[in-house]
Amino acid sequence: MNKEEKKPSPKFILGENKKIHLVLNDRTIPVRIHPCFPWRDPGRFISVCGIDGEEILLIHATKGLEGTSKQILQQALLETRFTLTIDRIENIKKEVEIRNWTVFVEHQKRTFQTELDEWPQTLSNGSILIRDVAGDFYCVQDPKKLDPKSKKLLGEMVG
Amino acid sequence: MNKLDDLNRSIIKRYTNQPAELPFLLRNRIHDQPILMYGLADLNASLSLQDTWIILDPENLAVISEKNDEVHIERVKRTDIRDVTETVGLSCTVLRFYTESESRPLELRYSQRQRKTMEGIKLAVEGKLPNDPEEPHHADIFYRQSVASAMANAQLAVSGNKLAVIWRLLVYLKPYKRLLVMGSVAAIVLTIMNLLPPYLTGYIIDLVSQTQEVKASISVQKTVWSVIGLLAFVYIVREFCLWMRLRNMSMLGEYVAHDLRQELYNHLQTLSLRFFSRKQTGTIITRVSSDTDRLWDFIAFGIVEVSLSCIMLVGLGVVLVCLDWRLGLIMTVPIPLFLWAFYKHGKNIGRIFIKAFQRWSRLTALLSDTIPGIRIVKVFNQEQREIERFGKRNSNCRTSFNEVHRVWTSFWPRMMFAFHGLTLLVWMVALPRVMGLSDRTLTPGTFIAFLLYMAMFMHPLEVIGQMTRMLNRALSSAYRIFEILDTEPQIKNKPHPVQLKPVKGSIRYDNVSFSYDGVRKVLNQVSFSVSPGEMIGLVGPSGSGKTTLMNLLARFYDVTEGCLFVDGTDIRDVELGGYRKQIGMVLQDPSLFHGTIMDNISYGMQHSNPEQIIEAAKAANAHEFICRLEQGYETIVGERGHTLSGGERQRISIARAVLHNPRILILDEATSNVDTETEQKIQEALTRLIKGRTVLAIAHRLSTLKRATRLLVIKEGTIVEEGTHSELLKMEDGVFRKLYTMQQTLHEQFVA
Ligand SMILES: Nc1ncnc2c1ncn2[C@@H]1O[C@H](COP(=O)(O)OP(=O)(O)OP(=O)(O)O)[C@@H](O)[C@H]1O
Ligand SMILES: [Mg+2]
Repeated sequence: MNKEEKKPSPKFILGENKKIHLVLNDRTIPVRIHPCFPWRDPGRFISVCGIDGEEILLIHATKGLEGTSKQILQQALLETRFTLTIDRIENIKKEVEIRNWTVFVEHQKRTFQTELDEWPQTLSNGSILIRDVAGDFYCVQDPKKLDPKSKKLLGEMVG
Repeated sequence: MNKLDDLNRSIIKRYTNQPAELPFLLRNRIHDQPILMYGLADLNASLSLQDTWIILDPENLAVISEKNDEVHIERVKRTDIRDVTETVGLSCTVLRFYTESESRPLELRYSQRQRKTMEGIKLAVEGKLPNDPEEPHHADIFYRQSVASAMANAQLAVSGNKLAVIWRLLVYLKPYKRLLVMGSVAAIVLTIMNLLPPYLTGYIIDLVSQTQEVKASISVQKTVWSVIGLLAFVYIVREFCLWMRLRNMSMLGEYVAHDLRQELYNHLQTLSLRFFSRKQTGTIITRVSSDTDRLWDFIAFGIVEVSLSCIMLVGLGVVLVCLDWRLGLIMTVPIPLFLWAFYKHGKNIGRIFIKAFQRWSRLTALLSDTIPGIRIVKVFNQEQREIERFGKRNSNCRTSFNEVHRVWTSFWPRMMFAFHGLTLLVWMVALPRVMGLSDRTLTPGTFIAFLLYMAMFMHPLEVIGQMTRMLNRALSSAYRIFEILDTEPQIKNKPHPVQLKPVKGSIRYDNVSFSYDGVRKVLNQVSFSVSPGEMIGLVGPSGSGKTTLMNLLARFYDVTEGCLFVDGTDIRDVELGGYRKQIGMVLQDPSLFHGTIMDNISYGMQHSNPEQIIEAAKAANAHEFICRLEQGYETIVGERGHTLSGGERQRISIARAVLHNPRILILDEATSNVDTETEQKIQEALTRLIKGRTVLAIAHRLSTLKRATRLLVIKEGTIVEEGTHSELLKMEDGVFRKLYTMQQTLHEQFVA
């Protein structure tokens, strides 16, 4: 723990191309960031890679960063681990080979489809994650807070 | 082409909330140029769902968004764009266009659903796609195709029309008309025969309850005997018909299932690897095995049961009303209610079933994980944890299935109760009449016949109530089967293919790019050529695309872009069967079929004689270890070659290649470490094998590489270095040099 604290905390800036850069010994390097545990621990263990894919740095916690760097990193994280948030489920209908979901994402209707054997996944924090055939993730942050109808529909799928 | 586009359009309309084409109004806004491509970005800068259209014409890139009912258009000259980048996140991808004039890039955000479209646009902007719109509706077709593709892949070629599927299934019955007709006639007669005994019983009882004088008369005696005779006749015919029906229909079902299975398997053999990598092996196997079996069930029993139940129900209704219309109506009027209750119950239980089924599949998933991986479980001493994990899922299953049982068990008594209520009603109405307390008398015989008929009501009701479920199950099986049958083999011969006999062995990759999923490029503009008799070594980090390169040469897949020439002919024009016969492959992870070692070596060359097989095994340095086995060449090797070690399996596959005597040899060396002696043996075998052939060898061992005439170094799908062993070593900063020195140090460390 002590060792870590002695190291200067990494600095991030937005390059003029609006992309995230790491400042390392007076050099700025364009980087990609990959949260190691995007679901259970999004704020910790962030792998920072160069464009060639080699890891430059592993950030143990975003908490340790100072001001703007933290903001920039968190903004970038927000985009890479963005999922569509479901706030209401209107219908889940089984069709041939697929299940058709009609949901509301921030009050906007959206339909998506999952394969029949692709079941919703319950994360360790209690949220529920659904992956559709196109590869998009849909998330129910807190299933307990859903309205009764959505809860009932989702309850049939989760277990 | 058009049919496909229509299908894509209906998929978008039905399954997404986005337009199936660029809205007309927007199209009008930029009508000065032909539209080459367009796409939809469905997220805005604050990551909320909002539509932004991006349109590409020969000169400009236009981005159109709507804000507060105002249309906002941003235009960028294509010549102005200096770079395009894509940052992929879980469900949000950011595409940025950098221009000469602006310091801020133009940004678009979108979900995975739009990604294919946007990547197409990116490629076009980068000038990697041909830019002339050969087809007027190319932009629309491209947009629909890329948005609908994920959905179309997940669902089926034969989606939608249930009737069409049933009809198609019925076509399979055609060759067996005789069985079908005999079975159906037997079934109908059977139903009629079932209706007779209660009537006769009633008749007899009425006769019995006549006064003595009437009974004594001769004509009555005669009638009694003829009724008994008739009853005997009915029973004989009935059982005969039952036998006829069961036999004919079961056999009919079996024939149809057999035909479907065979057709499926035949078709599977023609399908390309792409199909198999898209579907899980398990689901393909299920289609051939259980889905066809389910259809057998449906044809042999389902169809007949349901149609007979309908006939039976109508028959019963008619008979009851004819016997006595007042009593008859008491029974027949509530029938729709009963049917509805059965239907409702089916739906209800189906819903609970989903959950039970989900838990069930989690249970089986655990099994298929841990049973093949039992070694790892044991090594890590995780038996207890696995037992607990299984236990948890197992009891979840029990809870769910008990819920199912709770529902159906409570349903039946309720149903029966309602039915008994009806029976009581019949008694209440009928009994006074039988006793003569009312002026509309009813004979005891009619009453008894009536009761007997009533008991026959329940079964057909139940069958019809379950019809939807049964039909749906059979339909989805049929869908799944037809999906495979409707998949066109992607790799097939052109109408007039070129015969390459014999293949000389010159190979040329010309700007070859390849992608497995149509999105990520695994190979990017690879070009090199090989002269006949040369041995090329392919080196590169894991995942760089070496095996993929070889897959193209064997034409397991077709190139996405560019061309691959063999003996100067485009590989897509070459006759496939003859060509593959002249290619040998020793795969990275050779799999052996269940059978003897001899069968495995002579796979594809079944007519080889023992001398040839032994010779091949000797050349592969496999002969010795085979002879050490008790049953020699006749040792059965397991389904995954369990009894043999990795090195032994590899040598058998080398023997296979030797026997095959191919003109072009593809070696995909296993990364797994074998001991030095085995390595030596394999190397010796390879040396013998490569003589006089064109060889492409993916090699990890330096010893293999030394023999190669030239080496190609591949990194991230492109060739980064090319040259002989020593040439490459001379390159400062070279990838190969780095790999080489690393391996050398490792080697020294081990030896020291
Ligand atoms: N059937 C497939 N479907 C989709 N992607 C695939 C498929 N096979 C391979 N890939 C991907 O293509 C890339 C190249 O794979 P390839 O097998 O050609 O690598 P390789 O160079 O042979 O690696 P190794 O040395 O480990 O064998 C990898 O990133 C892999 O994930
Ligand atoms: Mg490989």
